[in-house]
Amino acid sequence: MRHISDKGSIRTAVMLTAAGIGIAFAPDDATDRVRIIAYDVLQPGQQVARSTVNWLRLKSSLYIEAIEQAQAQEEYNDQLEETQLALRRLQIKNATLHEVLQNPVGDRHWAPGSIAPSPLAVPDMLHANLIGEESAELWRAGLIVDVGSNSQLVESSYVLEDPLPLIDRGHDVGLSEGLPAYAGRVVVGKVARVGHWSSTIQPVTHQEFSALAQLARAGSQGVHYGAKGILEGTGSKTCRMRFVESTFAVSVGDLVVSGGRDGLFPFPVFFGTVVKADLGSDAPHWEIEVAPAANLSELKSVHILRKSFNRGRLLAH
Amino acid sequence: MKHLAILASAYVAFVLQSSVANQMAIRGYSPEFVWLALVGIVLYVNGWTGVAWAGFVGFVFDCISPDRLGINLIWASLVALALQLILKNHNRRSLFQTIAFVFPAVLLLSIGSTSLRLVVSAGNMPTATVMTQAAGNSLYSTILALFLLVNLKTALLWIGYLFPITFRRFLNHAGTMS
Repeated sequence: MRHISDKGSIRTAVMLTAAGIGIAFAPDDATDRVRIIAYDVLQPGQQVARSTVNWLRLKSSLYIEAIEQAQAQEEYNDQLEETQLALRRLQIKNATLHEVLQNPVGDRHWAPGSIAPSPLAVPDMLHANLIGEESAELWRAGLIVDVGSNSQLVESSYVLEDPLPLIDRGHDVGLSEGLPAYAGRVVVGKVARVGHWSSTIQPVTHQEFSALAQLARAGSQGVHYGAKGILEGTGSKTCRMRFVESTFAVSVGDLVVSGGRDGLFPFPVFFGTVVKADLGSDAPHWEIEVAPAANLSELKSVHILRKSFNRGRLLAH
Repeated sequence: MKHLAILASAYVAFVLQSSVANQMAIRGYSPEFVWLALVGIVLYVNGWTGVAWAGFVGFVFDCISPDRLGINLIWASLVALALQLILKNHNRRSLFQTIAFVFPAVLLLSIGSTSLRLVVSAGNMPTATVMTQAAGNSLYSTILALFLLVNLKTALLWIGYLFPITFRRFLNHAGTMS
């Protein structure tokens, strides 16, 4: 228990009260001097206090700014991570699609554990020599095989009268009209008329030539296929591709490949390259000019594609 | 040593009251550091010494106030005497008892000081607004005192840490200015 000296406290309080009353009536000069002294004594402490407050404000603002920057950085990192994941997914998908492009129908499996069946028809490439102009003239005149008409070795006039380039294959090896002719992977024309021992080839530039074609564009990640159309000869050195809708993108340099769905070859066969592509205002289709990749007149031989029945299927059953 | 600590506490209270108190205002209510220091002195210093220190604090408060000198000297002395008479059986170790005395003591000091100033300088009686302001300031001061008492050690450490750094900055600033 604390013991307080009440008398001492009361006495002190009375004295201070009296002093206060006295000071209250003191002249202003004296009181002003006392106030100045009090302010001078307090001034250093006040400056310290204000500096402390300003320092605390600065630190807190820097701290808040650092937190906001850290939060923003975290958000950016999250966004970056999401973008990288999305990019990775797209890369995987692209690689998968590229692999599918490289491995066409025959190598793909429709279901796990299932094996694609053998095709019904298989390609059979027949080599044929182009008969030169001089020889063709002689052949047409019947002067090459001099055995007489009774030996049934006379060529069909149907073929002989055709001014188109001649090849040295005919019905004797099972040729038929319409079979495509290739020079490597380039389509150079198709069989027009077939005789006993020779046939004529209609070049792609012939005004009666037409075939299903498709636009393609080679990119860094493979070939991208575009619109389909009809490739027609014009009778000049170039062909045209028709019925390509204006909604598709076409540009000079695009490749023109075969558009059929036979899929006999594991790769697309080539017609030529787009050299001109115009789209008129409000036109529904493009006007495309195609330069053939090969010139039949410069070739010495071609390959004729025949389709033959797959004997493996017969043997399997 | 005790008196040196009292003097330092009073100095800090005056500095805070004159420079920082307004910046710490919440909804217009600011803490009364000087009255808190005075109540602390009265609670922990016995006898006439406590009253004398209270009078000194009141006098210095007069010096930094725009009103006539002596008003707060008188009021602080009388309130200190009253508190000492009331707190004869005060248990200084009880935080609850201490806080329970702080609010009414600060309220009494604040209202009395404001009222005396109004009466002496302007001849007006204190209004409800003045009373409300004083009550709000007292409550703020009480909460601050509770926080400081609970975290006294930490507060002293922070003051001990911040004060040298700030004082050194002040010295550097003063050196560059001159």
